[in-house]
Amino acid sequence: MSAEENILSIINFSINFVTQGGNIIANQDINLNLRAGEILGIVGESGSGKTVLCKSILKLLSTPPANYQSGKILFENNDLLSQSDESLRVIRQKKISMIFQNPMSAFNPVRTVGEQIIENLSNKKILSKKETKNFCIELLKKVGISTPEIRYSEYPYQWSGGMLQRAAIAMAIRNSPKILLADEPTTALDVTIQDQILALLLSIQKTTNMSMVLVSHDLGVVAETCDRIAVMYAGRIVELAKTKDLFNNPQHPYTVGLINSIPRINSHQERLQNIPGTLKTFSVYNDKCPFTERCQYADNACKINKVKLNEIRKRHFSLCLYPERIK
Amino acid sequence: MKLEMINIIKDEYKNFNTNLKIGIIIFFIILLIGLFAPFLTQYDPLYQDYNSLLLPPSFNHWFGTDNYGRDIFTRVIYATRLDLQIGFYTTYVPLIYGVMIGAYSGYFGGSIDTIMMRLTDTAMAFPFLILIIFILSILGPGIQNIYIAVFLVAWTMYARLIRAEMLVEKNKDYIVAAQVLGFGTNRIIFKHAMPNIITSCIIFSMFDFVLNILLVSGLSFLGLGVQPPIPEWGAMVAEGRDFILNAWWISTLPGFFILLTGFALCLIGDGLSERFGKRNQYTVSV
Amino acid sequence: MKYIHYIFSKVFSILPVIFGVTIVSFFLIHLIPGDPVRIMLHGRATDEVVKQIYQELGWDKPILSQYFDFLFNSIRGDFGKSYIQKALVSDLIFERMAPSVFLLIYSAVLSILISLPLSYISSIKVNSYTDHLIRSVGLIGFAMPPFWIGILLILLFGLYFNIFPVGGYGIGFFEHLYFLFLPSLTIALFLSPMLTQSLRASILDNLSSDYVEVAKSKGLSNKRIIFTHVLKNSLIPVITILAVNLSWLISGAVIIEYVFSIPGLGSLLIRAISYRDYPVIQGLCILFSAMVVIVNLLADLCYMFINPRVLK
Repeated sequence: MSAEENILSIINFSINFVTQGGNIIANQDINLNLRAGEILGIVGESGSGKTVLCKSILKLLSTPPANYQSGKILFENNDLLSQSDESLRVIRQKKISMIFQNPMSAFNPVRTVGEQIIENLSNKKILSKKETKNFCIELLKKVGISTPEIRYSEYPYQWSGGMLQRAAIAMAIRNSPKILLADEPTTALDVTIQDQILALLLSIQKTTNMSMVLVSHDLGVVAETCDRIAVMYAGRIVELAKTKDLFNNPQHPYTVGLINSIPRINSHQERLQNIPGTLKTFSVYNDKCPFTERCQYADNACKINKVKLNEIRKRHFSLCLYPERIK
Repeated sequence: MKLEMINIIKDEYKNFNTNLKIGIIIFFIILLIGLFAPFLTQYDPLYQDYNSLLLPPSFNHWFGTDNYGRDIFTRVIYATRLDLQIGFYTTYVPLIYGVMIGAYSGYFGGSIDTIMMRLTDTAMAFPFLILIIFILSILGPGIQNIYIAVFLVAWTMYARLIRAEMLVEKNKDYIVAAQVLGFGTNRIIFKHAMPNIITSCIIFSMFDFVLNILLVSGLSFLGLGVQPPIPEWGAMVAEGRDFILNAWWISTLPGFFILLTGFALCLIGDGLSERFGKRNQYTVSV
Repeated sequence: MKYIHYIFSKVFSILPVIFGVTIVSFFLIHLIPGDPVRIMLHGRATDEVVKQIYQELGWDKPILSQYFDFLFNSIRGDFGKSYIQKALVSDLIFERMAPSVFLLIYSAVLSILISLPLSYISSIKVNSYTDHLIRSVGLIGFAMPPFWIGILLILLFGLYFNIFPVGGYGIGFFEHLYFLFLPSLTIALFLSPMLTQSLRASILDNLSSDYVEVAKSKGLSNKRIIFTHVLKNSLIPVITILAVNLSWLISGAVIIEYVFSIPGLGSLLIRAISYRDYPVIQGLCILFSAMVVIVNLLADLCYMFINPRVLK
């Protein structure tokens, strides 16, 4: 695995928020690579910092209250965090796109869907109005909207959630980006629609060989779609591995807890398994294990020693100091 | 229990932001001026001293005298009592029954609500001042009639406010829970729902207080309100109008007091809206 | 088709209000303690004359039939006759309408001109000292009694500095603009704080919405975002506020017309009140209310174009 294969490299990235209620560490020491053409999943509870990470890649967070503490995000040999506004805008327009969790609020209610999809199209100045419109209609067809010619000039309130998410996907891929960031794209949708949207994303990825980052709190979603999965907890990556390896051989107690908490339809469970305790937000950067209070394998040594991502097996990383304790 | 209250007030005070503090201080000063008016001046507000006509502000007469020889400063601070009093009653009395009407209307819905809405729509179709003027033209001028006119009409704004909030609130779980538990309607409305929805009314009442003071002084300015020789800020501005070139102080200074009082109340209202977290909501259109 | 349905439902909903307005205007007069005609004549009349006037004004018929006459006449624009000023009420109103309408529009325009830039600055520099300053100064504007400010402005700019005339209306469009500048400014000073705060709240609200974030992620510049996405959405409340505050505009205009001696409907009202000229008062009340109701209706209709969601 050489560095050239990585299309996106996040190196030692940390970010915190300064609020009236105190300091909140959102991400700490994130080290993550995205390879060309791969689908990377990021999994974690609400509050684990996954959305912040995504938004940071595009530098969407406003700097008070956000504070980019340290680290780099390398894309095409440039650090995204230190780009000028101009070049950042070009990257957002053409190279890296994002789709968000709530499709209903992602569109401006007083403008038509079509208008918003073709907004800031890269070839807009070259193409005629008709060509632009046709392009948009083709795009809508590609994402599975029926009768796009009529739909094109409708307003967002006339579309359902699933359709709007398809439109959002169309909007994101309109300029053929190299990377698509999908922040919980199916969370706000029905389960049946979820399936369709994921299938759509997969097919687009296959045809264009786009790299994708898929963020979710649902292990089932990432298991189906991703090549590699990063598990996040309290702003840190606690495990990073290929999907198969993660599920067959989890190397972090938190991952184990997550996998065990999925109810199994063919097993006799009297009580659902859960991870005791609640997610804690940290207000100071520290490099001790964040999971000790909730961990069933923790001991005093865990509370004192520093942690960092270790490569336990080939391309399987874990933050845990004693993964051998996991049975 | 008392100690608890004191502690609660102390904690609250820490949360008061600058606007609120300044507003309360200024208003308090004005209130005190009004309360202790007789002690702050040796003159009588109605006494006409024909030797001291149209004197400019001086050491003897801080705000000068008017064309009847009356000391302006004295009249202004006596007027404080009147204006604050009228402003207070015209704001808070309609608030009480307006809120009740709105609460019942919002809570019960149905035909009661529709009728009430039509009533308030009709009342609100008239520009407020016009309606008051209309009523006063029938009843005649004077403070009593101002009270009657305002009490007849001003409740509509509060009713509307509370109704809108009640419509949202009554679907909330804690209200439904109270209903299921069999609590009486009045109890649910006033003990459970009201404390949560009354804040916007209170904030609005501060601005309403200002508007009512402006209303009363405006009416007196037009000759429809307080009748001479009773000192009232607006009436004094009107009285000084004829002498504006020679004796600017007769009109200017009472008006400045209106401004100061109004400003203090606005600051309080603004401070309250920030304290209750509603600052970024659209300020309530009157 | 949806448009027509919307228009109809809105127009329909104002009918009961207009109805109510006429009822109130009509019956309120009849609640006058004492004899309205005698009051009008200030008590100087014999019984004969009073009876005659009653007949002339049609006030001797049973009340309900009077009301319906009144209603139908009002729809046709006939508000009866002013006995005191010896003219048709509608004529009196008509000849004085222009200055008032001019004043109202002028004030509204000035208010928007003042509030728009202030709210823009306020929202770009949220929570900064500038923001707080604009807000606090705005509060002063709100608390200023319009009649007082009017007098001060006359004193300063009319008498001391002699830039603007102290009253009257002028002849011709540009003279109107010149004469009505101070009065409109007075009203605008009262309205602008409310408008600024609401605009600011609206802009901030829109800036923090999801679709703005999405627009940012598409690579649009802040300027583009504000102009194409935020502004249109933020202007929606401006229309509401102006429409709703029309009643305050009118109230203010009445006093201001009196202060600046503008020959408009407001001064007509004041004069009618001092003469106890009830038909005029009645007619003006209905007119003002109708204006408020109709302007609000127009505002609602505007929404059809700006915010398509209301058609649902």
